[in-house]
Formats: sequence, structure tokens, C-alpha cells
Amino acid sequence: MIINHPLLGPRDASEFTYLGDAALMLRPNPKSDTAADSFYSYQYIRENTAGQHRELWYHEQGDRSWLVVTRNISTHEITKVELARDVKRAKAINNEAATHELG
Amino acid sequence: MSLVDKNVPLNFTFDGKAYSGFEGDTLASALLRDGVKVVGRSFKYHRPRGIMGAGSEEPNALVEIHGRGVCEPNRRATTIKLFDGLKAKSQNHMGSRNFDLLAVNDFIHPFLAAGFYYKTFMWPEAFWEKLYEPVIRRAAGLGTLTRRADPDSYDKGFLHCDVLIVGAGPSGLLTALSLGRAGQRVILADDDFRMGGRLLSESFTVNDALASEWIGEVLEELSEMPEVRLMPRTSVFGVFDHGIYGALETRTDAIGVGGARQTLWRIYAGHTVLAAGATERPIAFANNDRPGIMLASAVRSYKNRFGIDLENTVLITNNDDGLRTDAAHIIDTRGGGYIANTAGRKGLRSVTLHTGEKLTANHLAVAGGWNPNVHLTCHKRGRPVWDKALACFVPDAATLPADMSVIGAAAGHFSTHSAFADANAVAKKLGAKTPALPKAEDAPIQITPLWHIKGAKRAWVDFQNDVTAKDITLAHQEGFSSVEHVKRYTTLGMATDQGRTSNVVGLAVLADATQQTIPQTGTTIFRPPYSPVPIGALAAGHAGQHFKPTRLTPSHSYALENGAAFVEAGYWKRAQWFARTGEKGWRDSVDREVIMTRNSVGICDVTTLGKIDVQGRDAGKFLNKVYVNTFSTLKVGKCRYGLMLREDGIAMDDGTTARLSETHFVMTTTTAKAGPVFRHLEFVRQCLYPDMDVHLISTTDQWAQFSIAGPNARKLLEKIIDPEFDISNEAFPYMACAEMKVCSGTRARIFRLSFSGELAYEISVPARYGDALVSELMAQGEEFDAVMYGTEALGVMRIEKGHAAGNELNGTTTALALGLGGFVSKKKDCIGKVLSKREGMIGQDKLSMVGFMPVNETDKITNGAHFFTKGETHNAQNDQGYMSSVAWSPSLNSYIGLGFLKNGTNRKGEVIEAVDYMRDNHVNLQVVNPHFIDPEGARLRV
Amino acid sequence: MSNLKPTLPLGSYAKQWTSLSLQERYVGEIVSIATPQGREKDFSSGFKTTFGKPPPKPNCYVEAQNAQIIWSGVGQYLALIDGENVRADIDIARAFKGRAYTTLQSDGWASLVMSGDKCLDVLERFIALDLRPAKADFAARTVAHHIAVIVIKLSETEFQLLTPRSSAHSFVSALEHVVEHVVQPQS
Repeated sequence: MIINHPLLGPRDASEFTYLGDAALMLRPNPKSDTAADSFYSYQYIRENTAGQHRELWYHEQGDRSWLVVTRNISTHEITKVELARDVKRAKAINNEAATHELG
Repeated sequence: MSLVDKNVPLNFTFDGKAYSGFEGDTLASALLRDGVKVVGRSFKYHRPRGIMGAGSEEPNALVEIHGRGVCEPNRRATTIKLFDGLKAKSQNHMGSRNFDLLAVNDFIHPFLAAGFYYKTFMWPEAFWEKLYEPVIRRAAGLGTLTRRADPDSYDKGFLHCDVLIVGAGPSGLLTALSLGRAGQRVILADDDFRMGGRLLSESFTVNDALASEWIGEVLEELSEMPEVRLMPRTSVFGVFDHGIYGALETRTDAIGVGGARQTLWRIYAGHTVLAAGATERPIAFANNDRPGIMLASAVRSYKNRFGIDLENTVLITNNDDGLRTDAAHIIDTRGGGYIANTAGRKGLRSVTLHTGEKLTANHLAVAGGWNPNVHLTCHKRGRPVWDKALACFVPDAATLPADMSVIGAAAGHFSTHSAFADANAVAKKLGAKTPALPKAEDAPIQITPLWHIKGAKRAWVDFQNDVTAKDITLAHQEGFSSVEHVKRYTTLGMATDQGRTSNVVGLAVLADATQQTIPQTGTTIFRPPYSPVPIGALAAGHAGQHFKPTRLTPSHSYALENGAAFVEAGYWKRAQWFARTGEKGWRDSVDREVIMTRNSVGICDVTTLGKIDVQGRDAGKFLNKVYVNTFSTLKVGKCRYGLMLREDGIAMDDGTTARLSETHFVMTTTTAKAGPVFRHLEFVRQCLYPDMDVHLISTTDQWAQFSIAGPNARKLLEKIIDPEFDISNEAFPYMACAEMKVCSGTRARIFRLSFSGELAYEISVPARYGDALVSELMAQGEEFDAVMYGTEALGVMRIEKGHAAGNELNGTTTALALGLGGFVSKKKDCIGKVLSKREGMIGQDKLSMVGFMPVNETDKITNGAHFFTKGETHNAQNDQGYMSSVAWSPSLNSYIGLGFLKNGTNRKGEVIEAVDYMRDNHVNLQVVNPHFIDPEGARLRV
Repeated sequence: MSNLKPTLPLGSYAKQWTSLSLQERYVGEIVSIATPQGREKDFSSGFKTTFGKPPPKPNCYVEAQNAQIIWSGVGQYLALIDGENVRADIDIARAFKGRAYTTLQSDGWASLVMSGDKCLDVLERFIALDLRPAKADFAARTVAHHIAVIVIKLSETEFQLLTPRSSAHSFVSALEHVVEHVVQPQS
């Protein structure tokens, strides 16, 4: 597998480790009344469709950046690779809402 | 027209007998030229078999190559480039290949039909292990293994190209020429040792001259191009994601002659042109497997490329291409003729026509039509499509792997002219200018399919796995009608040749039986590797001592010289103990190290613990987020113990973090968790709080770190610390840290931390001074009888002190369980806080860490034992917890343990039963305070 | 001056084959330099002042008067500074006037130089990166045989390799194994 790093260009998958769904970036607000439920969903509940996923990959053997990789888990085609920090800053994760933790 | 060099004779042996051949021969061609008929025995029925093909599709001629006391089994004689001194042996027979004792299987064949092992050897059950299995094991399998170490080494590599061309036949060569002239980075790979593909085996002309001349000119030009890499003897065996291809390059078939025998290449290709050609298939008729019955294309290879005239050849063909073969008699099935039977067990003697007429024949060329080598087009779950006119499967353009083009015979364009036309078309598509099309034959395919003679007995479909047409119809009769089921039930297509010559014929037989069409029947899934890849090549560079890296501490040399035994902690090698002369075993050493450290002073290399530099204006805020306790309030010049949770509330790691300035912290982690914690911290930094001003970098290797522990620790340290620094208890109290200098100006960091429970310091110097420092410390420590101590003594002391470590932070325990519930700050959030409060994780009845001592002084405690309230039955329901750490304590003269007990903190004094069925050790233990020595911590603060 | 004798990570390792040599090369001090959040402009000007050149781009290094500086991450750089100075991190922080976070890394890495005609032939069996078309300002961090490595292309026939100190001997052993397959193939 090749991940096309937005700054470094194409790199072999052996340089990376996988964490999980990009939803892990949407850490819920711990102060909210519904924190127990929202943290439970955050930690364990996933859609897991047989198609496009946004995944978190860590460039462990490269520049140690975290990346959001948009990958079809059926065809393995990767259509987008972004720096996770940019995605988080742009709040470009679906369903970002005030229920999520600020700063 | 032969392409072998008769000026270079080569000698070899086969089954111990001497033969000879020439440079350019394969083992198969040399054997054929020397008149060898039987080359092995078939898998199940042990029928005598001869060479059937001329390439990697060969199903019968499996041999072992011997050398240097080892053997490589299951090599096809048709793909072994003959070399001087080759020692080859035939396979799969008991006794000689000409007189095989297991040929009895052929005579009891009605009982050995497909799936026989599901129906036999079932009863009595007891006979399976003692009788049936050993007998079957001896009879089954192909080659042998010597079980000796492989004397060869292998290699791995990475290649990048704009275009990978798979196959150096006419279409591949012409494509390479155009792309190479256009300056593109090209890899041209062919699994044969000679490039040219089918042109080497036919008597075609190119531009009215010998094809070999055209091939020679093209190769000469290509070899001059620096951006073109010619790779003969290289099999591209697999298509992977994103344009990555696996290829196996063979340097030599000789065993143990030095260098890398094979290289496994990972090729990153921008575009791939599949020019892999086609493989001919046979026809299934009665006794169609005798030695001497060969594919017509192979007969022509042996004649045109290897200069061998096979005597008395008869031809059976269902298409025009077969007619290119020289034969004394031709049976063209399109006229209704066919072969009803053959005779000649150890070598063909005659064939019987459908009319009953018997023809003398020593060789029978069989031309059943050609199958494009579509395999690579299907490795990404594509399936080929059936072409009715051509009577074969061709690649499906709609499901090709990304960036792959298929040309020539592989695409079902069989003539040489169309191969050239395809080459120019694809080169144009890839942006290169193309030369004029070379002049070549353009014969159309004229085929009337004939797959098998219905009702024929002992009509072989899969030669290598010994599957007949009858087996396939039998499978259908028994209800295994899907092509995937038929494959597994009969083993059709599952041998090392993966059905190259049998899959399509088998499908046709199945289609007949189920009364469906071939496209309706479909194919099984094609998976890598296309041809066998040795495990040695896959493991290249990672065998033996290269299996994994080792990490050595700065005191490693010193430890080697001082009797250390080493333990592997991940990649690290750590000294476990330091044996002295006279000591009888590890307990002597470890007990001594513990006693001497607690009575005087001991030194331990703790470099392996992760060190992470945390800097930034928000460093304190960041640490507050990842630790359960507060670090923003930590004063400069102080250290603090920290516990880190996973987001699900389970304890992840612990360590101490020191504050060197307002914006500078140094965190330590456990050895095992250094990598995962760093990864986690970067996740928190980049994915959760990207706007915090905090930077992280690992400094584990940068600083050599030693623990100096014991009542004389300060006295020893004072001897090396430069005089301007004050490490008195007042100036440098417990948990202080500072940058200082040692040994006349060496930069150092000193941390007053204790894992052992004694007065202790950790001293950190740039790793280049680590070796010198440990020697200096031990030299200066002589007056105190200082000892080096290893991981065992380290472990004993932390257990005596009641410190949780890896055994306790085992991925299932919470802060509460570790007795650190009160340590979790109530004033702030941290990773893991919310989920740590889940119902199932809190409450008095939950596990908590306590200490254990045997009631009976001489009893031994074992780790992993489970606890039960005295008198209760030992079952899962009554389980009260488990032992996590055990040590012999020289300080208490007793075994001691740390473990997790339900409601443990409220059960101190109780006697419970520790039960260990695995080591048959049940003992009564008293529940005690886990801090066995100095629970008030007075020694720490001295 | 310190009376502790320093040791090089590979003990002055040097090995010669026909058309290839591999040897340890002491690079001086190594300092990691990171950009404070929101102070990117200040950092950039501090970089120019200290090194006389703007910071390198990803996959590149810049050659300054007494140093080579490699891009090592977003806002992070690894400086290889000539000479011996065990306080190099403190001095660089001072040169940046506090507009950078610096960490001493000199002893975290071992440094090797590989030179000769067969460099690329060896490296293509060791490292997955496409080194042949890379320019002579190429520097990248990757992995080889499970060990981290920073590859710096000095020229077509000279490469510098940095690898973590604690596993440097394993790295060299794996590399030698590969070299021997390329430079001394038999038969």
C-alpha cells in the first residue's frame, strides 16, 4: 500500500501505523451532561460501511505526523490524504458540533 | 535453428545417473535429448509420468535439486536452467522412479476417487493417529525436506519505474523499445532466462529474417539505455495495491554457491503492461498422461529452441495452431476424429483412434487451444470473461487493476502481427512515438473446442493432483456443483502449478455435467503468487541474527565484561544480573545485588526507559490532559510520578516527569511502552489539541541513564558531582531534579527518584559518556562495595516496595485497582477520566492491588495463581482475583507477591487460598500491605 | 574538561569493498529545533539569522556555513552542526533568541557515510524510497529492516545515513549483508 503524504509524497505503508476511524478526533465535551454516553459512542460505536472510510494513520517511521486517509476498504483505493491537524483545525470532520470539546 | 550452445557441454546427474546437455538447455530439454522418458510419479496414483510442457506450466516433471547436503523440492525441470554439476532427483516414489512400490495405488484406484479421505479411514477412530495418519503421511506429499539449515541467502529490494512490462515476447519487447527510446523508466521482466517469449519456440520470421535476429537487435538497443532495466529470470508473481508488484528474480538454481540465490523485488510501477502470453491446454481422453504425451507447443519448443527431434510423433489438435507441429500422423478433431486410448506405461507405444485403428507412436503432441495468461488481471478480484470465438478466457477490461494494460496473446490477440500492433498502441497511449510495425505472421485462430471425450475412463484433467474427468462429474453428483466446491473437493487446480493446464478443461467438464455454459460456470479466484515463491525469499534479510534488530544500552560492553546474563525486553538487551565467580545460580547473584543495594549502594542501567522531551508554553496544560494528576503546578526543579490512562479508563503507563524550566519537561515511560506512549502523545497533540503550543521528541537513545540506589548513594554521587553543586538533603530533596556537571565538566542531569525504595538518584549523561561513567561509578564505588544490579534485582526491589509495573499495568487494570484512585485529580479532565467512572469499573467489590505473604514460611508463591476465600469451591464464580508479581525477598527472607484481590484494601489480615492448578501449587496466603519495606517512605527522604 | 572518555556509537567503524566503502562519520552535534505555535515568522527569521539560509522544505536539507539542516516534521528541523559542543541545544536556543524549542540529539544518532559507484545498487536493496532521481539536496527519514534511518543524498556516489544509536550495530550488520550480495556476488 502507498500513502501519498501531503508534504512528503508517496511513501510505503511500512512507514505507517493505523489507529482507527477519524471519528477519534471528535473527542466529546467531558463537561457535558451526556458525557458518559457520548464518550461511550466515541470509543466504541462505528458505522463501518463496506466502502469509503476516513482513517487515522501515524507516520511513525517518517515525520511522525498524523494523517487522515480517505480510503475505500473494499477496493483499497485512497482518494485523499490530509494532515490530521489541518482537518481538526478546519473542523472538517462530519458532524462537528458544540457538543465536542473546545481547545 | 536451435538456441543451445553445443560448444559448451554441461554435465549433470538425474537420480544418480550421469547425463549431459548444453549451455541454454533446461534440465527437461537435456533429459529429453538423452532419451529419458519417466521423470517422476504422479501424486496420488503413482503413475509413471514424463515431461509434458516446456515452461512454468509443467505439471509432471517435478524434481528435487540437491547440493551442500540440502535439497530444494518441487522444482519443474522445465524451468531449471541447466548448469554444470546439477544433481537432480525425481520425486514421489518408494523405490526407484521406474519401479515405484506405491504404484499399487493405481491399481486400487476405484477406492481412491476424489474425496476418498472424507469417506474412508473413519473407523475405528483410534486407528487414525496410530496407523492411518502415519501411513498416509508417508505416501502423500511430493518432494522431501532434509530439515537442515538452508545454506543460501536471499535478498530483497525496491524498484521504481514509469512502466513495468511483464513478459519479453514480441509485444513486450516492442513496447519496451518505444518507451525506452522515449526516455521512460522501464522494467522489462520475463521469467525465462532468455528473452523472446513464444518467438523462441516457433519458426516465425520477423521482417523476413529469423525472429532471433530481431530479438537480438532489440535487446542490444535496450541494454544500452540507462533508464531501461532488463530482468530475465524474473517472475512477476503478484499484483498488490497502488501499483505495487511482487517479483522474484533468480540468480542461480545451484545451491550454496554464494551470493543471494534469489531476490524478492517490490516494484512500484506507474503503469503496467501485461504481455504475459498464453499457455496451451491439453485434451482429456483415456490414458492421456503417458510419458511421451506432451503439449504440441512444447514439442515445437523442444524442436525449434532446443534442437530435439522427438521420434514417431502423432498430433491431435482441435485448432489450426496445432498444425504447425511436425508429425507423422495428424488427428484433426474438427473432422470428428479423436483418440480412444493409449498404451505404454513407461513410455508411449501406441494410440488407438476412435475407429479402433492402432497407430505406433512414441510421442503424442496434444493441441487443445490456448489460454491467455490472465492471472495478474485478476489479483485485485477481477474475473476474466469468456470469448466464445476464441474458446478461452480473456481479461475483462472493466475489472483490470488500476493502470494496467494487457497486450498480445495475454489479451487474446494471438498472432505475432497483432502482438506488435498492440505494443505500438499501448506505447502510443503511454505517450511514446512508435516505430513501423515489424512484418510478421498474422494467422487467425480457427478452433472448434473439444475439451474431453465424454465417458472416457482415466482421462486426466489435473495431472499434478491426479484429478480425472470422472472425479469432476463425481463431485457434481455428490452435490459439489459450484466451481469453488469442485476445486476443493477434487483438488483440481490446487497443486503447485495452480491449474495452468487444467482449470479451463476442468471447468468445461463441470459445465457439461451441470449442463451449463462455461461462462455460467465461472472461474475460481486467482490469487498471488502466480508461481511459487520460496519462504526464504520472503524472509530475505531477516533470517537468523537479522530476524529483528537489537538495541544495546550504553553499559552493554561493561556488562559483558562483568558476568551479565541478558534478557530481551522488546528489541533491547538488558542485563538481568551480574554473576560473580563462585555463585551457583541466578538466585545467588540476584539476592546479593538486592542485599548490597539495600545495605550500601547499587547501580543499574535504566537507559531503556522511554524519555520524551516535552517543550512549549502549553506543555504543562498538555501534561494535565494526558496524566490523571496535575503537572502544570509542578515547580521547576521538581519531579512528579504520573499515571496515564487509555481513553477507556484502563491504566496505560506510568512514569516520572521532571520540570527543567517553565516550558520544558522530561517525561519517562516504561521500557515497553515508550513507542506506544509517544504515538499516543502525538495523537493527543495533533489530532485533539492542534492549537496547543507543545512539541515532543524522543530522547531515549540520547541520554545514558543510571540509577544509583542505597544508603550510600549520596556519598557515591558526591564523589563524581562537580564541587559547585550541592546535593545535600536540604539542597536537593526527594523528587528534586537539576542540570549539573560530573567528572570535571561532563553535562549531566540528576533526578532524585527511587524505584527501589532506598535513597536513590538517577543520573543522565549524553550517551557517548555512558560507558565511561559506569566504569567510573563502579571504580569510585569500590570503597562502598558498590554492585551493579540488573533487571531481576530491580524487579525484586520494586515488588518489595510495592510499586506497580508492567505486570500490574497489564491492560485490564484501572487507577482504582492500582490503589491510585485518590491520585486522580478531581479538578480537571484527562484522557480516560469519563469512561473510568463506568459502573463496571468502580465499587468496593472490584479488584484492588494488595500484598501477599505465605502463612507457612517455607511455602512458595507462584505468579498467576488465583485467589479464593478459604473454604469456597474453586470455580470461576468464586474467583477473587489473581497474583501479578512474585519474588523471593532477601530482605524479608520469604516469598512475597503483589496481586489483585476483590475488595483487597479492606481485607488486610485475611488468609486466602492461592490456587495454581498449572504448577500444582495451592498455598494459604495472608493479605498484607503491598509496601513490604519502609511503607512510610523514610529511607527515600534521608 | 570532562575526564570521561566519550565513545562513538560504532567505534570508528570502517569497511572497504571494491567500488564501495562504508564508515562511521562523526557529524558534530545534532540539535532538533521546533517552531513555537503561532510564532512561525519569528522562527523563520531566527533560522535565517542563525544559519544564513531559509529553512529547508520537506524531503530536503540545506547546507549552511557550519551545518546541515534537515526538514524532520511540520515545524521541526534536525540540525547537524560541525564541531564538538555538548551545549549546542542551549546555544542554538540563544541564537534564536528564544523563538525556538531546541533538544540535544547528538548521541541519539549514529552517522555513516557510504561512498562508491555501487551506492544506489546497494541502497535499492535496503530502502524503499526512490533514490535514483533524487537531487543532491535530498534528505528523508524512513525505515530499513525495522530500523529508523535518515538518508541524505550527498551525490550520486555518496550517501549519509543516520540511524538511532542503540540499534546502530544491527543496522550496520543488515547493511553489510546487503552490500556483500551486491559487490561480491559469486558465480
